[in-house]
Amino acid sequence: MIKLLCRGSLSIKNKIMLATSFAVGFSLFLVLSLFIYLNSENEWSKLNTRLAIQAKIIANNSMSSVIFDDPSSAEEILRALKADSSILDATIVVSGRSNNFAHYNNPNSDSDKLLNKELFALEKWLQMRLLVKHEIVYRDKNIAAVLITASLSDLYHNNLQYIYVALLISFISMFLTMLLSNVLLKRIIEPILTLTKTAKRITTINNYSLRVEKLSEDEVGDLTRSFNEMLDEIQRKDHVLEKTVAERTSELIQLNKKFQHQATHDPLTGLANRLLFDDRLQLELSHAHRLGKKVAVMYFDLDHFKAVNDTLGHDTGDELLIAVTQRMKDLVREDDTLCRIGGDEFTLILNAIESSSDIELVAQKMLSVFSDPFFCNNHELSISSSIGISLYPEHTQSKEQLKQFADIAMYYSKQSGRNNYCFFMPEMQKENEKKLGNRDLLKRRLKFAVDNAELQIYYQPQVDMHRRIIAVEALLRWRDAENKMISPEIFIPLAEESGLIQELEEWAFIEVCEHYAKWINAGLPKVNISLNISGYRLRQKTFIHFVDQTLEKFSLSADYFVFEISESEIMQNLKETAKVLNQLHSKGIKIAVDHFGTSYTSLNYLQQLPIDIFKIDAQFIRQLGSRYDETSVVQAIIGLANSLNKSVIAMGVEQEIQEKRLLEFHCDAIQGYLIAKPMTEENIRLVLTDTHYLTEKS
Amino acid sequence: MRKYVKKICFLLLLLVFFSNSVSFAADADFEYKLKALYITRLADFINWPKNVQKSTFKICIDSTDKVSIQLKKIQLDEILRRPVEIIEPPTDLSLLQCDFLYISQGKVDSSLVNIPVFTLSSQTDFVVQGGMIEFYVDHSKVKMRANLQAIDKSGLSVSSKLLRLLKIVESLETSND
Repeated sequence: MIKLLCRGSLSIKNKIMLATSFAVGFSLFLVLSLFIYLNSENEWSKLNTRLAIQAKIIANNSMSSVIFDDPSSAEEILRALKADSSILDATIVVSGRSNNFAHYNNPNSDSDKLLNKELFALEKWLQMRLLVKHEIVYRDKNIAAVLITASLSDLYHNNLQYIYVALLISFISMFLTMLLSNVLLKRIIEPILTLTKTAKRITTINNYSLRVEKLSEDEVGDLTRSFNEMLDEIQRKDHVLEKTVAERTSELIQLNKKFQHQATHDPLTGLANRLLFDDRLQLELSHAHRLGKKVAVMYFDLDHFKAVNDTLGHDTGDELLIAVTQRMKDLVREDDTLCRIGGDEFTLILNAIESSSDIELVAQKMLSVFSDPFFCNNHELSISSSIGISLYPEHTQSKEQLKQFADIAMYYSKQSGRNNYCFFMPEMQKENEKKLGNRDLLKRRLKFAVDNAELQIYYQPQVDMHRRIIAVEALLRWRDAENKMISPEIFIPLAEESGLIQELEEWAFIEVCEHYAKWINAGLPKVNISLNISGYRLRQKTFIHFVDQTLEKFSLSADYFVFEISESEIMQNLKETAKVLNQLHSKGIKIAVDHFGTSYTSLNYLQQLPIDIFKIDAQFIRQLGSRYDETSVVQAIIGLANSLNKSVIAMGVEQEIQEKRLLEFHCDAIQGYLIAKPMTEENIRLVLTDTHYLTEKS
Repeated sequence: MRKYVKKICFLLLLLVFFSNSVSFAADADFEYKLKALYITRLADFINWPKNVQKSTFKICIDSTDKVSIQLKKIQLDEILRRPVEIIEPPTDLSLLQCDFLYISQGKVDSSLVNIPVFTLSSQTDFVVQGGMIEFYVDHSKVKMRANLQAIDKSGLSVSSKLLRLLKIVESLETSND
């Protein structure tokens, strides 16, 4: 019962109702029981007194019968007890006699009536009989005694009836209490029930605008008021939170759109970039395959564009590219796809081609773009273009080959005197394969370079906005036997192709660790050391073990190492990459996304990866302060990094105006020629030794 | 210890007394013993006039009567808190001194009418002849008959407790009336 009241799932109202009813019933039963007990005691006492008096009278009256040995007269006297039904029998015993002098069985007694056999049996069992004795005294001597036995069954019967009545009254009282408390509690508990219902409703429908009606002025009323005040506060905060979330979501959607656009479009000309070009080409090929149509891919390259850049500057070059784009856009059909896939390289996908003559017509129109000079940055520029064309399905049905063939055709177009267009021919491919043989030669030279220590580690400092060195990035350089520097952009892809990348990167990591251990021993300030890791190497099973082993070999803490992985490589095999990155991050190694902003990365993925640093690609930084300021993109990336609580390093900072703008955008750190060019290990040691080196220099 | 001995003695006495009643036929004197005992006890149930003040309780009985012999054997010290005296029935004039008069033979003297002397006898129809109490034997039990008129005329009265045991008869004179 108590367990049910304390822990049961009954409502408070029912619990209180039950408790009150039980208490009332129990109390009433106790009181009635006490009354029955006292009444029983009183009845017993009265019966005892009555019997004692009767015994005394009989003793007095029967004395002569005893003295004169007249049992019949004695029995006559005893017969007077007949009227008292409670008396079972009466006996006169004389001292010294074994048998009774006189005995009388009351025919009117309850036991004889056998009205209630069970009760009689109980009476016998409980010995519910009262025996009263009175001595007959003659001449100061006890000569006999009167014994009267009375039944207590009447008394017990009455008591039993009283108990039944008490129980009945208790139950009726409990029932009435239950009914009454039900009515009263309904009114008392109604405010609590209203409060509970509203709280449940709020939780269910998540609507904090609901309020509880105040139904009483007691403690529940106070609770209701406090509850409503709490709801006010929650609603206010919820409103603010919703507004903030909506704003943030909107910002993120905008940013996402921007990134998506940026990832698929060229920031300078607004044309589709290589990524979108690939998608569109795939799409057009699918359509063409289904409809049995032709698709043409045109590759454009501006002749002598490099010369414009070198002589008139990047700004003029950029302006020229924009002007060229504008003219080309005016000529192409709406459903044709014009893309800028590189510095001065454009592509055009022509769908639903009926014949080669249509293509030639388009090619000629494209060449006509360059017939009039361009006016850029107060310069009159005459420029031409070489066009290579490949056809689906005539030349190939493979997308990759279609691109490759167009590129080869463009190369031949250039060779054949520029300002021309050229269709792909199978002979061109054979010629091209010969050229690739040169790449094999380069691969062999690279292997020789790895084996003969022609490779070197250079270091470029990364500084915070007060120009304090916070890290150095290790960069791989190849100075061949002829003392000619070969760009990493050339030899790294070659190393990946030839499988030398593992050896190359392992060597680089060991070299960096050796240098770093030397710096620590020399007491140089501990700065982060940053290394580029290729996606290929990252996903190799032996990589984690190799890192552990090397760090252990040089007794170095992983906390000072930053592994840079380019954004596009992260996205190539996200699941696998994320797994390895998490393992590295758990060891203390920081993860930086290199060339951030150059490919489309979902924000969701970025949140899932253990990224510490975003390195904004140099192409965005270069445009800071120029006429084609990409402020919004840089600012958005920094804002995104801040909102994700990540650090941002701007790459390729070359001008003070760029540094100033980055400072305004709250960029965390910068790296570039403005601060320092990549330098040998000996030189970086000097820089790290003199902490004021860079600031003084500036 | 003495208290117990006394109790045991009394019980033995009662045992002897009641055992006698059982063997009524066997013991020839038992009837007289019982009558003697009843005589000693009857006084307790009779109300005497208040003006009669005597120093002793006199039982007048013929010494040759068997009841007299048994009465003497009882050796009772007191009746109604007075010393007991058992004497021969005196001459007519001195009969007034008797409290109890046991008449072995003959009628009640007319001089005894209206005087507080309680008359007893075992003679048949004693009470009819004007006696007060007559002992008789019924089913081996000694019982009593009484003449309440005679008792009443003598200024005595019998306790209701005793009356319950008595068989009431009227005197011959009254019945003749």
